[in-house]
Amino acid sequence: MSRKLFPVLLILFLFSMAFSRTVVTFMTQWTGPEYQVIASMAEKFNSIQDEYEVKILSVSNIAEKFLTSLAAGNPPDILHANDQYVAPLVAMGAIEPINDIEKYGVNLDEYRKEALEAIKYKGDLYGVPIKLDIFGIFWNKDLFKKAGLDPDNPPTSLNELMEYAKKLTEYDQNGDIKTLGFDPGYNDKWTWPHVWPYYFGGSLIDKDGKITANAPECVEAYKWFQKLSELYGTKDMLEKFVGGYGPYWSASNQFVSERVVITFSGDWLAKIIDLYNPEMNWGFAPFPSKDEKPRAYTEIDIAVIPKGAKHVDGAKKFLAFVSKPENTLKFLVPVSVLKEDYVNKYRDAMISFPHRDLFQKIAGGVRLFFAPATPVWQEYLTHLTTAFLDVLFLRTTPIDALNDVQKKVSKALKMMSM
Amino acid sequence: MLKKSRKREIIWGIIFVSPWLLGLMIFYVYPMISSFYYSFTKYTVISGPKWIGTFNYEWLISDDIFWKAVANTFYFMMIGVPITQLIALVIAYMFNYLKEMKSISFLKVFYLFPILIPGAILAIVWNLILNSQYGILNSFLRVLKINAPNWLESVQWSKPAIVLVGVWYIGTSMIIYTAALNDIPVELYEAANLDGAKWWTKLWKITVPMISPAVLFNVITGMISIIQLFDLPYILTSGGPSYSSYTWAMFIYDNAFKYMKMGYASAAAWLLFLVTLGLTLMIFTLSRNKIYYGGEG
Repeated sequence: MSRKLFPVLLILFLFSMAFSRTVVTFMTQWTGPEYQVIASMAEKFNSIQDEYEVKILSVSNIAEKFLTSLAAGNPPDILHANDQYVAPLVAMGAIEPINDIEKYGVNLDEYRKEALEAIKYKGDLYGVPIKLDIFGIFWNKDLFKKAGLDPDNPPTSLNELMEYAKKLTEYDQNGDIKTLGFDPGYNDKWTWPHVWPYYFGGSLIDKDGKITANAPECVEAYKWFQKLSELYGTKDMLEKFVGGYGPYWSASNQFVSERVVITFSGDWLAKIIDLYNPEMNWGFAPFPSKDEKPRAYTEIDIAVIPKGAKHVDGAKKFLAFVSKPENTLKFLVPVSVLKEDYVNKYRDAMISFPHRDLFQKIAGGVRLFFAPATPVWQEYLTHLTTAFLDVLFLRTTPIDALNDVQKKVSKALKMMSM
Repeated sequence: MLKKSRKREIIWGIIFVSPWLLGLMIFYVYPMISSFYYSFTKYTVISGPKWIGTFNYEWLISDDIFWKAVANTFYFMMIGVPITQLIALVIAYMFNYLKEMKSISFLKVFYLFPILIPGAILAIVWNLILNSQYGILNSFLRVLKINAPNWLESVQWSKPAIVLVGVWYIGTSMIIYTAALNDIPVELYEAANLDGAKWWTKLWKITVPMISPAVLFNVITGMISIIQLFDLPYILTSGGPSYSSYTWAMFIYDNAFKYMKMGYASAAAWLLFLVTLGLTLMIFTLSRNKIYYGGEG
């Protein structure tokens, strides 16, 4: 009996192997609506061809898990990343360029030029853009009206913003801050310390990739924010007020709960407002630049192919599938990674976003800029965050804080090049 | 020449302990040896290690953040260990004094309870308690007309806040002290009473020497656990503000897993190991003649 059974099982095994599909893994940290979108795309891709089966792996602590899998020689075939991490991943030898992606059907002409530039490093393309988040100031129109300001006209210059911030700040009978005029990012987990030098005409790296944290424009930017904090009161008053902030993605978000009148954030804040305070009357505008030329900080979610991925062909075919406008436009974002012409052409395929026109109008009238491409980005961001918060909470001077960042990040860069 | 049965016993003994030995070799000995080697290399996990000699140690010595982390860790050790041990001892002494009371077991469970809660969850709860505006602690302080500090947001208060939360972990030490106090022969106190000894004399001449091995054990284990402090500051303050609650263990974690500088992190980990070993040996040496193990005359 067993003699007959063995060849039968062997034939069945070989038969199943011959007809089984190659599994392509996509590692992401998305869990919510974005996960549903990418999972439904994988399902659709799996149903229209029989060579590959895409599996979406949703994980927490994605950086650690990805690097561990890479070290073990078993990386995913596609990794979900962010434009800021292209340079560090390339420096570590963790991802491969995908300059040939157009051969698989990705039409790079459809993408916003600046979005593609942001994910190129030393001339090579490393990813396919998936979604984009635009940053700017959100303001509460009702609280503007209450303070006697025109609710439809947000501050358009740095001086005006400072003036509005002062006018909108309220104190209680104990002298504690009750409502803050403008919060540029006092919350240590939701702050963007790297964007400010760009609004003041500076940059965090020079054209040769050298660190320029203490360049005059960076110092000037941080000085402006320290002046803003001094205008609100003392270090203790600010620490006390910020200590009362609730979780960012909740009804107790400082802007959603109307304790902050103007805040700097990514477009996702609109989703938090819609969810927890849909009655709020708000607006969105670019953060004013020193030279008064409108610009907006932007972040892009991208898909990259790790070095050592076993099914590069399948991965590129899936990325080509995701890149089709009718698929990319399924992501619930106000501004697409695609050029506006293509967005209009495929408007029927789009998921409608309630505030899309507002964000689109802003994105159309500003120059989008991105985080600097440096291999020591993670350390740079960490040190800048500490420096920016120290400046905001009046613990140190901008020049001392930025000199310290310059010293530490230059050292990190030196260590990396050893 | 070993007897056949003795030989068999030895073989079986080795077989029985081999899973543990194997685990020890794989999960402790090998990582320790390899991390020592990595501490002399530039290693990002992805690309292979590159020998750079003592550079990691030299960088560490000139790294301000490393020294801040070391200073904070020593603060937690020098302030946290004595405070927690003293509180644990006082409570254990109180339990011992009231041991005839029926509800004493319930009280012991009450004090032991926090150690049953995972550190991460405890930290989240304390995050709410210590909230400077809406936290219950500051609300209570305001009722008492005491100026309520910004516990987790201020550079001055972040470390005391973590020490305060650490006091909740006294359960294990307290149980060890209670057991040690229960083990003291009653005859010693009876003899002292006959000699007319005062409460203070009995405490210093009988209680303290008799529980000294328990004190030594608790101080060493407390020191080792605090020198590795990670979860409480990581969740409560993320090491901030301005690195004021950043610990040695957090420094190792960030360099290893956030910046992928495994060689640098290994160097910091080896220094931590050497300091812990040195402190333990120092405590043993200094306490050699002060610990009473009984039966020595």
